[in-house]
Order: sequence, then structure tokens, then C-alpha cells
Amino acid sequence: MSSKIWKVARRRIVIITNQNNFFQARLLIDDFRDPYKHFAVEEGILRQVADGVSPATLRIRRFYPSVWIGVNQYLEEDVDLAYCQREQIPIVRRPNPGGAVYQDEGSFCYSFFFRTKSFLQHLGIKDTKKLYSLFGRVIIETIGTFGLKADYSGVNDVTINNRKVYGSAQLELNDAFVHSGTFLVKTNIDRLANTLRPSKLKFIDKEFTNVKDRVINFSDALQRDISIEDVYHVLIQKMAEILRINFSPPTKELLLEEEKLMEILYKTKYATAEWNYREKPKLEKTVSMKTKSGIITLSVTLDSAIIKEMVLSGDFLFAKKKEQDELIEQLIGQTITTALKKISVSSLSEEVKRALTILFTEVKGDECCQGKK
Amino acid sequence: MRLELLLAAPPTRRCKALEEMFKQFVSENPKLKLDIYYAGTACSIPTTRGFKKTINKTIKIPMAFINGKPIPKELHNDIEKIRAILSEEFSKGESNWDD
Repeated sequence: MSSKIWKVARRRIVIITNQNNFFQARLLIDDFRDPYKHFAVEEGILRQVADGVSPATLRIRRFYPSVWIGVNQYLEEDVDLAYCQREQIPIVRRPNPGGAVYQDEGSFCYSFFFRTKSFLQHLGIKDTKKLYSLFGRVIIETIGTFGLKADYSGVNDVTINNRKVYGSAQLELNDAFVHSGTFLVKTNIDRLANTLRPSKLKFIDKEFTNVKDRVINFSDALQRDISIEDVYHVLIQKMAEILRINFSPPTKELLLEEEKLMEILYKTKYATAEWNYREKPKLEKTVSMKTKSGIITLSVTLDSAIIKEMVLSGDFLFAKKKEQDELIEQLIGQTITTALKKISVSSLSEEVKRALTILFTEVKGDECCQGKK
Repeated sequence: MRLELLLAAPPTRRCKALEEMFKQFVSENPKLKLDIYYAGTACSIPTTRGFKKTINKTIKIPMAFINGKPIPKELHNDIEKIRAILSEEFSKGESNWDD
């Protein structure tokens, strides 16, 4: 951060002091814009908070253009690799879950690190999931300060006119917890849409059909230009008010212990190809569909048209565990045609039967096409 | 019966302690199988359904699972309570093991 902006930041942030029942936290506004270093800093702080070395901390930061994928995602499924390579946009794996996101200097992120037990006690809640709505309220009121109405969407997003302006994720490590959020202020939406390749299933029951229609910049919603600093200063104040946090004057310096750990994590984890580019386990064919009960994914390996291996996964779950075991046992070693017959006469619910029939038919269709080639 | 651990990469001291405890269980009973996953790193082992169900928007590290059932964090240091859960799950018989 330049010294000019830094002075403005110090002047604008209202520091609440001498108030009882306020949670004490450090305010860290650093300037690590390299995404690999950023995550090394995040994990370094989290580990030090867990070890009782670092205090509770609110970290605000911005980045060079980059794509961040969720800890459980696969690059080839969620990101347009060719586009990112062409545009020299680095891709980094986050330590927390959720979908892929594009970041640039038109967005900002925050992370709030704390010792789980003490902060939950302070808020009078028991479940960390409630933090999504509490931090969501901070965002909604921040947006409200600028005269716009925003709403919660799903578990972890905030939208303006049904378009996502903010998303969040959580990670707990030992006794420490970090709740993170990203706020789109004036990000390059075209680039965002070009870098991300979300599953079409994500949009199947929505009014929009692509990423570009799903997200909105705060400045576009406001219909005027606004500085990122103006937005995050309001956010810090709202967080202080709503969550009753007493922030220390802003600093941009890490503790020595955090910096040492950050360097190690940067070199051994976040800047490595091993961490960022992991290969998907090989199963010959994976197909998914959305049902009323959630997304169901079928992965099968076929050997001469015989089902050799089969995995069912996704949000979707069988009501009875035994049903799934028995079904898989019955289908392994069969052709898809036989599998379809077995599914049709099984005691599964109609919804499950329909979903599996569609997915196996899709696998069969692909297999036929491959055969013709 | 499957035991699973989701640990930090690199593991923290608490992760290592949990790993040692679970390795001890496995050494005591050949019917137990331990799978260790490191958050964010490649894993080709199919997890139990219970594990899949638990991993959602929030990742908690370390996580321990016995027969696909998550062990509350408060018990991670309590070998006797974990051993009791282990015995209870084991006694349900192979047909009820989440594999």
C-alpha cells in the first residue's frame, strides 16, 4: 500500500476503544499481491493463531490477476487452462473449499482469524456455520450504507438483484478458525467469465446460464465508480459494530513468526506444482446430473463394455446405506444394458432410478460413439 | 473397518499426535485399515460415504473418522473415548462397515 493510501486508511478507520464486551483483534492490511505468497501468509497466520502466537486478526488484501480454485477442485474441470496460460494468469489452490474464483485488483478479500472457542463464546453461538450469516450481515449492511439492497444467497453468498457480489469460505485448523470472503467491486468481469468454467449443472435451476450473468460488480450495481478502499473501510466499521470487535490501528507488518512460516509454506506448498496441479484419479467416465435431492455423480470404469469399477458421489445420498452397497455390488461385472434393467426392477425410489438411468444411458452413448471411431 | 484422517499439509503437532494414535489402533487390530488424506493434496483412495457427507463448505483440520463417522474435535486427545467408539463401531459387524 502506498504511503498516501496508508495515511488515508489510518484516518478513515474508526477504532473503537475502551468498550467492554468487545473482542480484541489486530487489523492487518498488507500488500502481498502475489497469490501464492498470499495463501502462505493466510496459513502462516492461521497456524500461529492455533498455536497461540498470533492474535485474532482481520486481514484485508488485494491481488494481481489470478485464479483460485477450491481445495477439492480439479483444474481441468473448473478453469479454462488455455485462456489462463495465454493471458499469463496464475492459478493457485486455496486451502479452503468452494468453487473457483477469479481475482484482480478490482476485488478485495478479507479473512478473519480467531481462536474458535473464544470468538464463538463472544458471539454467543455454538456452530461455526452461523458465521456465514453473521459475516453475510456485515456485507449486506456494508452494501446498505451505499444505498443498495442485498440478500443472502445459498449458504455463503450475498447477491444484489440475484447476482453474486460476495462469496465466502471457512477453514478450521486445530483451535483456530478463519472465515474468508471476497467482494467484487470493479473486477474485470469479461476476464472472470473467460477464466472460469463451472459445471453447467450449477446453473440448471437458475435464471442465468453463464458466469457473466451470475455475478455483478458493486460499482456497476451502484452505477458509479467507487474506490476499493471506500468499500473496505465501511466493511471494517460494520464488522466492528455488528460483531463487537475492537480493532487495533491498522498494520501491514506480519509478526516475525508469521513471516518465517509464510516463507516455508510458500516454498514448500503454495508455489509448488504438486499442490496447485494435482491429477484427478483415473476413472474412465464421470457424469453428473441435478436431482431434487442434489447433484449425483456417477464414475465408472468399463472394461470391454463391462462395469469394472463404479463410484457414486455428490450431494445426493441414498436414504439407506445398504441400498447403495447392494446396488453397486449388483452392477459391477454387468454390461450397461443389464445394469439398466437391474436398476429398473430395483426397489430404489423413482427419483434415484430415473437419475441412474439417465447417467448410465449417457455413459453408454459415449461408449458407443467411441466404438464407432 | 476403515479409519480415516484428514490432516493438514504439512501436518501440525496435533495432526501428528492423532496419526500416531490411529496407527496404534491399527497395529492392535488387523481388521482396521487406516487411510490418511492431506487437505488439498492428490488422493486416489475412495473415501467412505460418511467422510464425503461431512466435507462441505467448511473444512476442519484435523478430522478423524471411524467407520465413516466423524469423531468430535473435543475427543481428539481422549484415547479411551476414541477406543470406546472404535469398539462400538467394530461390534456392529462387517455388514455395517462404511467402506
